[in-house]
Amino acid sequence: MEVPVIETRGLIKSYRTGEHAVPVLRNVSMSVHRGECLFLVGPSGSGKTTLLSILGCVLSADSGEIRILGHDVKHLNPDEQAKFRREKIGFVFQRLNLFDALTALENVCIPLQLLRWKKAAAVSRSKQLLDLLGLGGLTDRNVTQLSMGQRQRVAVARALAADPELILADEPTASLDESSGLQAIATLKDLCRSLGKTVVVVTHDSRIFSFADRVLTLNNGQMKPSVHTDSLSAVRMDTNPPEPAKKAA
Amino acid sequence: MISFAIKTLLSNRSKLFTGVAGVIFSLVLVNIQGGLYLGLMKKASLLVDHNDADLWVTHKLVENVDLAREIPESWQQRIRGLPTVQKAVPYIVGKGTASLNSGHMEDVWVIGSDPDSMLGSAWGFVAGSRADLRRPYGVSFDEVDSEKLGHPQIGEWLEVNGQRTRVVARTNGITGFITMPYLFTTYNTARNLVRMPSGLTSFILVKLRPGKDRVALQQLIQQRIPDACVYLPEEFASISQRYWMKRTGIGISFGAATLLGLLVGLTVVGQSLYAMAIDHLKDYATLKAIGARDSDVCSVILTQTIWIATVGTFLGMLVVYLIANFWNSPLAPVYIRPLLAAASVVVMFAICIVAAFVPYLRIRKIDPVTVLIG
Repeated sequence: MEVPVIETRGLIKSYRTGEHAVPVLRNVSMSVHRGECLFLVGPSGSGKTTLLSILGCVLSADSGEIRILGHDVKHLNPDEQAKFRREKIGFVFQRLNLFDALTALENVCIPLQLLRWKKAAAVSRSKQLLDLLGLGGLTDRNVTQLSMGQRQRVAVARALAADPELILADEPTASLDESSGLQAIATLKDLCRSLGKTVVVVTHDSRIFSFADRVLTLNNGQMKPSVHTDSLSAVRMDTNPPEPAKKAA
Repeated sequence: MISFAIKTLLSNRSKLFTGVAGVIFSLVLVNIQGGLYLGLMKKASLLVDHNDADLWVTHKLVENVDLAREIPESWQQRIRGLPTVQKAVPYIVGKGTASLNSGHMEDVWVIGSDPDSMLGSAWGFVAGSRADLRRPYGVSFDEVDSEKLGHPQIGEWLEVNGQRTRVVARTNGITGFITMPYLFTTYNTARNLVRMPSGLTSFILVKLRPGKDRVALQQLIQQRIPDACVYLPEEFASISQRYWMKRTGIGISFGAATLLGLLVGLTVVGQSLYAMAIDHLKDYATLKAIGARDSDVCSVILTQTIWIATVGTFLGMLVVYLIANFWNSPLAPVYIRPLLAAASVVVMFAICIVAAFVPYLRIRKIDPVTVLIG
């Protein structure tokens, strides 16, 4: 049986506020298989972003087990975590966090520069991705001169640049209008599916739930079975992992 | 990461300008202070530096070329007898007082050279020549001192210690450390003007035969005349400079100003880099979130620092060049040696790199999780 891309068991995380520890994640167990597009939903403060941060190796759980791509990431030191993120994980941040001083192309090149790619190869790869995302004519445009939808696509290209196996997206439609949001999530999902990437999306935007292969709900730090409308029949509505999706060619 | 570093730097022009201005200010201050110091020190040994003598024979207690003590003139005979000596001539450096037409008095140095060789005589003539100084009671003065001496014209009389001299030449650039006018003349005229007692002189200047060893002769003369001090020119120049340095504390004041310049540079560059880093904390957090190493972040800060240092150094040295070439005067000479300029550039780069540590330490502390959980 194929090893899950993400596998957590009994994750617990608390934040300290003075003397008190406020629990954020309580005994969270989940699995995500290769090629799956999983949505993490829940009300504000339910622990979605904290869970995403732990999955992205930028935050450590207090206890519990976590394996990403077969690696026990709980015991990685900060340098090893950074290496893991650099090589294995692509991020699409809620506020996009593009580098405003750079062009679209330069933004996409950054993860490749961190991987010490040669400049020509990095530029070629970045142009290829921007072309795929329909931004081929805007590569030399400063990102501040792009529309929010275009910026979103630059952020997706940057997340995919280093060819990571796992894409983590935090509220990717939060700063977009409805049509741009739907288009962005459709693009993200299509591209990741065609490239065989595993995607975890944190969102509370119910309009895009239909794009998920499966939806998990967090409530007060606990994983709940998700209930969906019948029209979303393709969506698995429980906390059990589905069969591994076939990787697209 | 170089383009990221430079583009981020260029996107923040006001802080870039402040940082570059800090480097320019610091570099100019260090070079001008250092150049003024070296220029003043050169003035302290002016008579030695512009003298072709190979050896200086002086009184044992002499600490400065301008403040001579009398020695027996007869020593020159004992020196001339040595086989490697080509020439040994007496040289007078004495004080006098010039009486001006206006009724004012002005203290002057009277410098008297052997009339045959004119060793140690004036240079930089703008009117007249060394040969003119051989005319009876002929003296030269420097343009810088013209006002002090009541603007004497060539051919006019100038009274020194109650005796008439004739102004026969004018020079440019001969100003000593304590800015008393130098009047150059022949040995005998100087002897009369400063009322040097018979059989005494200020210094004996020695010229070697070509190809002979200066140090060997120095030791030989020292053995032959144990009461004298025999110096190589560079030794006597150094002694003369040290005298003023110790007596006036000039080194401390110039050193303090130079240190201040470096501190200003350190503070301004450090503050600019820090402010720039604070402005881009979000970018650095993002970089770390997507896997940047500490060395990547360090390379960004270092690139920005070196860029500021390079641009600042280029512009700063241009300003230094302009000041040294167009704002230089004999009264306040700015003497910038290549070694001083090179050292200031190295120190400036070192200062900039030190200044980069503060923002680097701040950025190192950024937790990448702040990108996701603000």
